[in-house]
Amino acid sequence: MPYVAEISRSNPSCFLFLIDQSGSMQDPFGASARSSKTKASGLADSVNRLLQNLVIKCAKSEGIRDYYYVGVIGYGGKGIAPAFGGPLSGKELVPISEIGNNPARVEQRSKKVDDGIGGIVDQTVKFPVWFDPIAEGGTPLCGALNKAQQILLKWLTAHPHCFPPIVINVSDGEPTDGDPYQPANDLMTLTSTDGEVLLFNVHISSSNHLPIEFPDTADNLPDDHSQMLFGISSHLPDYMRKWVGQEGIDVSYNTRGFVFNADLVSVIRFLDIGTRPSNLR
Amino acid sequence: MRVHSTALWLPKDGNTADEYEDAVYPDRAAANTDATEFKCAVADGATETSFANLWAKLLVCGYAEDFDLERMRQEWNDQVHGKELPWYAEQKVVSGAFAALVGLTISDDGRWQSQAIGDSCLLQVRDRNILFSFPMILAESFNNSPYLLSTADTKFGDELPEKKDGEWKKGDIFLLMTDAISHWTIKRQEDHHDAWQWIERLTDQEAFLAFVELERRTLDPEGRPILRNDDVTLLRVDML
Repeated sequence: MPYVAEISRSNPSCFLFLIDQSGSMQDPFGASARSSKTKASGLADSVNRLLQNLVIKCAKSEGIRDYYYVGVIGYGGKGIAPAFGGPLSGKELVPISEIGNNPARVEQRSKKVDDGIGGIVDQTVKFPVWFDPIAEGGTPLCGALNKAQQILLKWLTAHPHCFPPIVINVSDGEPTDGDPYQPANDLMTLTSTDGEVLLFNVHISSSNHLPIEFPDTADNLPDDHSQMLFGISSHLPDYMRKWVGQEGIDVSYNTRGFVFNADLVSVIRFLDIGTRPSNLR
Repeated sequence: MRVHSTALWLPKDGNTADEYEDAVYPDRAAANTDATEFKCAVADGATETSFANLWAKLLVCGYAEDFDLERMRQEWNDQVHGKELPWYAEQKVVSGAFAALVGLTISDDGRWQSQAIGDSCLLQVRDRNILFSFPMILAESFNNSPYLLSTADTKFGDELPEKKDGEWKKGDIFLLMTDAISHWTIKRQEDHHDAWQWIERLTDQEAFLAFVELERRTLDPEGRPILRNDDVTLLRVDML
């Protein structure tokens, strides 16, 4: 039965982020179209938040346990290359502990939290930043998918029994180097003994359409770009579909790992590395 | 009233003994106790939370004293918040630590009482028969996200433990177990009705290690180990 392999330090799994750094990412982001926030900064927030959550998930009192190796590949006008800055610069896959200990900087951000007596208060929280927004040139998505395939082929040779790697592509879905179906399919048919590689897509759009999470049909998606990205997203494995259902989202066997103007932090929550209390938020 | 207790434990395969996050009280491998009242407990700190081993230890020791949750929470906070932590550990601490707990109080009037939160279990054995398991009854009820006792306040709901009581006789045996071996035992009993024949052999650490290693290697039809790879703790209490 696929997707049951234990994720541990002796049998780690892998996360690979593909991030769209093309010129079209300068356009306004979603419902904030009237504000100055661009798709590129929406993407940077999304990926920084995913990494932050993954690090916290693997953190224990003594430090960060290397349950995952993580890579971030940027694609845009400057080509297709590892996107880490600072000490991680140029590295394709690094253990999650190195990521946690090497953010480019840690910002102070304000967050609204429940004050416990029925009100909301502002709280200052630390927000680690690994990536800043970049928007330049074309969108070589096919090239990025091919690059992901190369990296994961190597990973799977070294870790044949791992929980299947998860690839998260964050893009506005406007590729300029051809039809991505074939390279996406090639990527999604790579396997460990525990199942096929999962390709999930986060569509960052200028549309004011309400966010959409884990749809099971392309019919209600707002445009061709989101339909294309839905089409190259993996079906959710059984256990993830169950989790998504428990989050109150309607699911079917056709539910795919795709979100529109939303984030995929919930995917991090679904990863099984041990007991997660039902009353932990 | 004379009681003999045996505490057996192992960390998750791949982890060191320092990373063991269950806790047991009393924690001596084997001990005889003469008393009018005997208290014991096991707790299981949740993997996905930090400083869970500290919380589990505070809970089992606290159960044996006055079970004052507020005092135990304060002690956890005092110990954790005094530390200089990197950003990720700081954010993780905010969520608190979580643990399952099952405690047992045996009195010399022939009665016992138990309290439990989560999926650590109490079983009573009489004449080689398992009489019940508490609070989990069915193997299918176990999952990886139980409701647990938190160091945070009770804003997610009342964390009132489930309670059960009953009578004991000389020769009875109580078993307190964390979730992996609880699930194994209940499932074995459901499928083969012979769980006690396996558990009764676990009288020392050597036998326990052999059992745990074998059952972690044995796979169910879906390819999962029949004893889930987790910290594993068994406290056996013999009423002499």
